[in-house]
Amino acid sequence: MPQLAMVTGAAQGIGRAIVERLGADGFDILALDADETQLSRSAADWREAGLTVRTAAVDCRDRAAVIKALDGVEAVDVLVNNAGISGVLDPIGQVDRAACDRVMGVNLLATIRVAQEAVRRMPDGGSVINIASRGYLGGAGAAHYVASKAAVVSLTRAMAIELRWRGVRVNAVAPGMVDTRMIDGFGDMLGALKRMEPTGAPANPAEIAAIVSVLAGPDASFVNGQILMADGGKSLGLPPL
Amino acid sequence: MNMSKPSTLVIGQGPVAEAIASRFSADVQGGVITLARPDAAAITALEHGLAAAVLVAPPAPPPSLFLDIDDARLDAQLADFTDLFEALGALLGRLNPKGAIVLVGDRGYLGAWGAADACAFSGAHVALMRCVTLEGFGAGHRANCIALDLAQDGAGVDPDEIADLAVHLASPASRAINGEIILANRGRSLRVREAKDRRADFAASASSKGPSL
Repeated sequence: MPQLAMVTGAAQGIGRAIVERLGADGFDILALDADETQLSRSAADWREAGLTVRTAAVDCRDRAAVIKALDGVEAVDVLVNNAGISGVLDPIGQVDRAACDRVMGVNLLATIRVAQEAVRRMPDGGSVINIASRGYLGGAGAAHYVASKAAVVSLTRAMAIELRWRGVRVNAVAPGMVDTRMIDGFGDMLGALKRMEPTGAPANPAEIAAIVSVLAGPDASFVNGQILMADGGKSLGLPPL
Repeated sequence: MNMSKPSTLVIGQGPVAEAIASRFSADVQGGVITLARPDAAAITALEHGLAAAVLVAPPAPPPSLFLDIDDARLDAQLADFTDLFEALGALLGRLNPKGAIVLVGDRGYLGAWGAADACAFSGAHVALMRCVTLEGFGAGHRANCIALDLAQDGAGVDPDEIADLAVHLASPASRAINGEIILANRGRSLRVREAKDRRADFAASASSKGPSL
């Protein structure tokens, strides 16, 4: 019987690539996303590709909705906590309370709530993969986003320390710039930011999905509590090619 | 709010915040302003610029297994975090050139048993300090973090030792230190506290099995 992988923020970008990769790896997929329209479009493509995917349009901040999406699910073997937003890009003094709450709510609180409900259904050998960001190291003009991703990194470590005793591994992937709709928010800065990437371009979402695939499976059974930086070496200060 | 010759702002409650305010009053020229909680409006309304500010983050909640953390507890920590976030933004607008911010948090950012939510917010605190460091470069501001043990580490803390460190990090004597986290726990973090068989803890946790609703 195929194992089940639950993916949040699944409808597009990195999440969609993860669904397609884990589906190709042989998992059945439970795909969650707040964007019902985009989720329906992606689901049609997935079905056409022969993947076994169940979808649920869910704002993962809503615990009751997450539990409803899990109705009838006996076991979640892999959870990929991918749903996230970047929010406005402004200096800390110009970010209002509502914007801060929204980014922390989606990127951190939803991650915790989804993980709790999935881990309750996770058998021995289960794997949780949280999608953080290389931005957790710090950055000017995005303090609430940076804080939310740093929180996910620390959460990952604490979850790994604790859930090891349930036979569950918890790791995180911290991508650098990835070619998704999220980077459209950079506006006029996008070209310059792309040129600053060590490889000269953002990563393809499939590259991040490939790392998730390894962390999800038995080849990574000895990897726990780690933050895998996938940024082309930018965090080392590597200059562009 | 106590205001006289404002020079240093100390925000927070408890023995550590009190010791820090006391040390600044005794050792540092200029007055000390105290606020019990991070209050962006009160900071914005200050009459004078600040040479330094020390924020003592609210203490982490009591230990809880990951699966037992409820939404009320998460929401309360988010509200505290957002207060701190707003206060830091306001502080950057009130800090004199070359002023220093010291954030007193805890070591949860490294991960800890039975404190996943508190660890997450600890990580957020550290990240905020780094962002403030980067955004304050132009004005010559500095920001650093003091990380205390978590309450469940059991060793407690000497508030006067932390006050000594806070005064040092707020002073020009530490001007080469910026964007750093100083673990102030006498090296206890080097002990491998988490390498302990915890299976019995899970057996005692009713909510570790089955859905929560």
